Amino acid sequence: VAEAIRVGIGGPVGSGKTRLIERLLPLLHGDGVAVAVITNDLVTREDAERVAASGLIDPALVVGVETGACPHTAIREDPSANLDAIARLESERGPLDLVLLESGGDNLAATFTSDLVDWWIYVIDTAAGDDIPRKRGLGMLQADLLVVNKIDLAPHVGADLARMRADVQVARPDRPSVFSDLRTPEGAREIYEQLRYGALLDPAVAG
Amino acid sequence: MRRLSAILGHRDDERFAGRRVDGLPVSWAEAGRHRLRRATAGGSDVAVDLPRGAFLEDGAVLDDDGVTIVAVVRAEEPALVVDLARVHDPIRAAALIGHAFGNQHVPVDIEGTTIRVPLTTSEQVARATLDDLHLQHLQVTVEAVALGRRTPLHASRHEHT
Repeated sequence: VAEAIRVGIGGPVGSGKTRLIERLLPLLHGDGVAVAVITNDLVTREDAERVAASGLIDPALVVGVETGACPHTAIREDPSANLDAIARLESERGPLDLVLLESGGDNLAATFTSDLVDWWIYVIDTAAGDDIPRKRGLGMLQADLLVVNKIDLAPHVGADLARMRADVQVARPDRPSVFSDLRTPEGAREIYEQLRYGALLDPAVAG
Repeated sequence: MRRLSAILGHRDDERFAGRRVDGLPVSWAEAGRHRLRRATAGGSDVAVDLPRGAFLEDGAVLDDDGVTIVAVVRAEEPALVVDLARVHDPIRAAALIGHAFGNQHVPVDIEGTTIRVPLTTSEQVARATLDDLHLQHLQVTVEAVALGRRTPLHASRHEHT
């Protein structure tokens, strides 16, 4: 049985990682993708409980991992707790096509190891400061896809979206980025297309 | 779009003699990846889809149509190079280098008495870090070097308790 594709979702606290999962699930299900979700929290299962209760996925396909320490250690230096969770899901609930793995909210330097995920998204919040792209954190620089979320808030917090777009282009000249408002389901469509393409979820890729 | 799902051998293998080589550029940070969309130097779009645990070493052949092979090219990349050969307290110096750059969470390349740290910031920032830790006496250069071309770099560990 082929192993599931693993897609990581990282970014600071409150940037919209869990919301992104909630927006992606209907799109994935609509295309017949068998998907499970793993969320990481420090000492609770808050995000897992939210996704499990969302009605968007069988709660048995949602696992919460309590990292207990810095969230980035569980997605980079020692991903064993998440690897165990993936193995358990595939064994008990497989076969799966895709596992979405949400990191706990972390700093701008957080990155995923390729021992854990095949492709990953980094989410930032427009309202958290339009200077974030200029800070060139490793997460934003190295992610396969950057999502700049909550662009609808830009006029309310004085964020300069044009400047953000220009800064993102400088920081990630060869990698895709999506500016989005994930409050609406439509906000996830382009992200979903990027995921299908970049993570090779698209069966149209010739074998 | 071609899906490349196996490492067929090395560019220098006899069976690939005479083949034209179409290079697939891969950085040190990408060498452990299993899935990758990329254009080759010759302009072909490819989808790398390898088994977990595969390593994209320099020269790894991912495709062969009998005329042309697609082979990984690991170019030189900027790194902070620290030579501890003539340092009178190398253990202390190595520990301080680990302290200074461990927080960047990047794997390092160690060969003999030389430590190579991939440059993720700028030379100016890296040198300021060394100055802050009073490590100006170390012989440190920024060079374009081949990082982990044949084997993975050493992962740095970072745990908070």
